[in-house]
Amino acid sequence: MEVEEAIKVLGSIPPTQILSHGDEMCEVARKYLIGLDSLLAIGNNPIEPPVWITIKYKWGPTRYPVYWCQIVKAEELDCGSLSAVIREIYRSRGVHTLPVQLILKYPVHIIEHYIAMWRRKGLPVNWIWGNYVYHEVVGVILDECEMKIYDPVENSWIKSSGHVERGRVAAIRISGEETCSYLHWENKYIELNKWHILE
Amino acid sequence: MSLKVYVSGLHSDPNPSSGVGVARSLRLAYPGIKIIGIDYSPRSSGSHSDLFDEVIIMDSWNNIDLEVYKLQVERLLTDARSYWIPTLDLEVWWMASARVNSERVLIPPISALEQTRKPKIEAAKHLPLLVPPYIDASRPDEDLYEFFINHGCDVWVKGPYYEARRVRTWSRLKSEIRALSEAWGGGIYIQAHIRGREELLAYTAYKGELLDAVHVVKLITTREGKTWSGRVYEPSEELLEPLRHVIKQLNWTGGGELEFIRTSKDELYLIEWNPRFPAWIHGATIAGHNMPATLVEVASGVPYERTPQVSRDFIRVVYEIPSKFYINEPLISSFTIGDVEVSKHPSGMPTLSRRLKKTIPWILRLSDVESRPSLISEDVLEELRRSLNTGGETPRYILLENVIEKRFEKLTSVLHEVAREFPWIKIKAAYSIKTNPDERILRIARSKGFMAEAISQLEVEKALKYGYRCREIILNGPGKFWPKLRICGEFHAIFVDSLSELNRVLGDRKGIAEVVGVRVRHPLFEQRFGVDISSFSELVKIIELVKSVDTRFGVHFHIPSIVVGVERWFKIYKSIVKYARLLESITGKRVNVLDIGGGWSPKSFDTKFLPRLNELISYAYDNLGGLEEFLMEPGRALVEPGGCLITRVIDVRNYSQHKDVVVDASIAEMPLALMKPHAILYFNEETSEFHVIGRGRDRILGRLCMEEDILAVDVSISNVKEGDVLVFLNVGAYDMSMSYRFGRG
Repeated sequence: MEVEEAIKVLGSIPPTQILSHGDEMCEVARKYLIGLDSLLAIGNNPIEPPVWITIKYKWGPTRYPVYWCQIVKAEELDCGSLSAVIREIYRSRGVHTLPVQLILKYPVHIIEHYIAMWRRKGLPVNWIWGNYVYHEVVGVILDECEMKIYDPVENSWIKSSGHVERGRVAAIRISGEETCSYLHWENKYIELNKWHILE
Repeated sequence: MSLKVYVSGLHSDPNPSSGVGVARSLRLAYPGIKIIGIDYSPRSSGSHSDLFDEVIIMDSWNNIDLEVYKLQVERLLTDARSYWIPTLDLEVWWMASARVNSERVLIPPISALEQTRKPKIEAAKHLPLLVPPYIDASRPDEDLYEFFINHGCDVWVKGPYYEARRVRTWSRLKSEIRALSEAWGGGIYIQAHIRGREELLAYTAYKGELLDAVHVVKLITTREGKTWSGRVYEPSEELLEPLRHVIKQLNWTGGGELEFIRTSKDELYLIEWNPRFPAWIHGATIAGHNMPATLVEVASGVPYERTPQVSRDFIRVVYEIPSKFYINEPLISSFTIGDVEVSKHPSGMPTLSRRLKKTIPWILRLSDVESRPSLISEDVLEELRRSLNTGGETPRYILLENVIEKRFEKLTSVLHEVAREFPWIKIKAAYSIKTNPDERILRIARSKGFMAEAISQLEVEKALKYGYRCREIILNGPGKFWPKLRICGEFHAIFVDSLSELNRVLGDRKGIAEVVGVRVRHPLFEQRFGVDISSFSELVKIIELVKSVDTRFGVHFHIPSIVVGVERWFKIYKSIVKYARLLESITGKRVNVLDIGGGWSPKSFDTKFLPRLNELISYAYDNLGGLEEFLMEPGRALVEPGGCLITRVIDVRNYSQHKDVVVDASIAEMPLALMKPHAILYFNEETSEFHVIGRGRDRILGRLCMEEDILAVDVSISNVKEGDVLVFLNVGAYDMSMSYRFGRG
C-alpha cells in the first residue's frame, strides 16, 4: 500500500522539540509566551486551545534546530513548532498533552506550493513524499484515556473520521508514556507509539 | 384529489425565509403535488422559482385587511387535502391568534407560541438549556446601563421576532433601541452576548407528537450569522427526550427551530425558539430527514417517497434565474436619512408587528410589570431640596457633601473589615483627584484616611494645599515630570507609564518614591497607557530595568470596568496577577504593591466590586508571595452620585409626536450627557416636591447652537413648562471636572 511506503519514509521523523540554549534569554522567551497566554486566554476553559497563537504566527517554514529565543522573534512557524509551543502552553495551564504525528494525503497541486515555500527558504522538503505530507498536531488528554486532537494550522479539532480541509488523514501516531496503553479518540482507540493507518 | 400545499415566506437571500427550502423538500418527497407559494412582495426572490406550480403575491402587510385575509386563506383551504405551512414568524403568530383554519394551517397553538416566546422562553426550563440574561429595553436607563456593563459592555439589542444588533457602546445601544422600537413598535430587549459555537435543532411535530428532529452545527455563517453551511447530526437523547415531553405539553404542530450557543464549558444557551421550519431545512432533507414531508404525511395520511441520505453536510450556492414578477427600478437619488439602518426584508415583518400591536396589545409586551423610573434615595432628595430652597442662579452644580461623605465612609469601613482578614497586607484607597478636584471632596477624602492619586504636578500642589503629605500621594498618569517638578519629599508611589519614565525614575529622579511601579498595558485592549507587555523586546527591557529597582516594586493596571464590563474586569485582574507572578519569576524582584486603578460605576462598585474585594486580595496574596500592599484608586464610584446640575427650562417646543425643551445648561456643563445615564428630576418650586422623569419620546436640549448639545433623549416631560427647574443627577464625577467654558460669554 502506498500509505505504508509513506510511513516508511516520513514515519521516522521525531516529534518536534523546541530547545533551550540554557541561558536566561531562552527561559524569558518561554515564560513570555506563557505570560501572554495568561493575559490573552482570560477566563477560558483550560482545554480550550490557545487560539491567539494562530493569530500571532503565520504557518510557514521553520529552520531546525529551533530555540525558544528564536521562536519569540519568528513571524511564521511550521506545524511542529506551533504544536510544541501549544503543548508548552497547555502544560503551564496544567493540561496534559502528547505530540500527535499525522501523515496527510493531499492533492499534488497543493503539495507543489508547500515544496516551493520550503525551497524558497532553502530548507529541506523531507516532510513530503508524493501525495503524502508529515503533519504535527496536539493531543489534548481529557479524563480517563480520552483525547481530543487540536490542529493549530487549521485551528480546529480533528475528527476521527480523518477528514481535514483539502485532504485526509492517512496515518496517525501518538508518542508518549501514558498509564493508558490506548487512547480513546472519538470512536477510535489508538495505541501509543505506533503508526496506525486510517485510510 | 391530490395534495395541495401552500407555503408562505419565499425570500431567498443570505437572510432567507424558509419557504424555498420547505418547497424543495416537499417537491422531492411528493413529485406530483401542487405547491403554491405565497409572499408579500415580488422582491422575495424565491417567488420567482420554478419550484412552485403557482405563486400568489399579496400586497404588503400594510395594505392587507387581516379579516379579509383570514377569509381568503380559509377559502383556499376548503379542499380537504389542502395545507398551509407558513414560514414567517409573525405570520404564524397572526394565524394562531386569529385561529385561521386550525386544522389545515400547520402551526402551533397560540398557547405554545406564548411559552416559546423570546426573550424569556418559558418552555426552555424543561430542556437542558439556559436562557441568556436579558433586560426589557423599556426599563430605566440606569438599569439598562448596569446590565450593559455587567455583561461585558458587549450585548445584543433585539427586536421582538427577529433583528439583532450587537453593540459595544452605551450611545450605540441607545440609538439601536430607538431604531428597533421605531421599526417594530415595541418589544425590544437587550440580551447578553454569549461566546461560543452556534448550533441548531430543527424538528417537526403534529398535535403534540414529535415526529423527527436533527441537530446541526453551523460550519459557515453569513455576516448576519445565518447558516450558509451545516453538518447534520442525530440529536442526543439528553436533548431529545425532554424536547419530546415539551412538544407534547405544548401540543405543537408544525416545524420548529431552536438556536443555541455551545460555550467552551459545554453549556447550551438557547437564543431563539422559532415557531417554523428553519431556512436551511432542505439541508436536513439532504441528510435523510425530510421534515416538511413528514409533517404533511402525518397531517394528510398521504405517504411520501423516502429519499436516502445524500450527505451529512450541506452548503448553499447563489445562482441566477429568470424573474417572473416585475420589480421597480431603484430611483436615482442622493437623498439619505439618518445613520441607523433598519433592514428592509421583503417579508415585511416589522410592519405586521406594528399592526398586530393594535389588535393583540400584549404581543409586544415583555413583562407585566410597568417600567418605572428608578427610585432616588430620600437622603439625596432631602439634601438637594435644602440646596435648592436657598435659591441661586442656573445653571449651577450642587455638591451633595453628605452623600459623598457617606460613600467615603462606607468604603473606609469595608476596607477596615477586609484589613482584619489580611493583617499582613496594607489595604489602602487613594482618591483619584482628577475625577473631581473640588476642595470639599479632597477634605472629605483626607479626613477618611484616603491617600490621593495625582496625575499632574498641579494635582500634587492641590493635594499638598489641602493637607496631604507627599508620602500620602501616588503619582500616576502619562506626564509626571513637568519642567517645574514639585519636590515635597518622597511620594508614596510612582507608577511609570513607559520605559523612558522608568529610566528617569531609576536615574536622575532616583528617590522620588517609596514604591516604584510599572503600569502595564493589557494586550486585549487598545490603550495608549502603560508599558506594552505583549512585546518581547519591551519585556526584555523591562526585566533589565526592574532588576535595578532598589525600592519596593509595584504593578499597576487601570482598565475601567465601565469599558470592559464587570465580569471581564475580574478575569483581567486575575490575568494581570498571574502575569505579575511571572514577572517576579523572571526578574527575581518581588511585586510588593498591586494597584488596581478605578473606573467603576457607583452601583457595580457597591454590588459587584466590594463584595468580592476579599477574593481579589486573597488571589493576589496567593500568587504574589511578596505582596505587602494592595491599592485602589476609586473616583467615579465615590463622587458621581454626589453632584447635581440644576437647570431651568427656557423654551418649550411641542410637536405632533413628541416634545422638546431647551434648558439653560448644556453639554459644556455635562459633557458626558449621552455617554452614560443621568437620572433627571423635575422640581416643583411651589411645593418643593421632586418628580422622577421617566421614559418617553421627548428630548431635553442644551442651550448651545451645536447639534450634539442634547442632554437627554427618550424622556417623558409632558408636564414640564417654561421656567421649571430640572435636576440632572450623577454629575459629580467627570461631568463636573471635564466641563468647559463654551457659550458662557
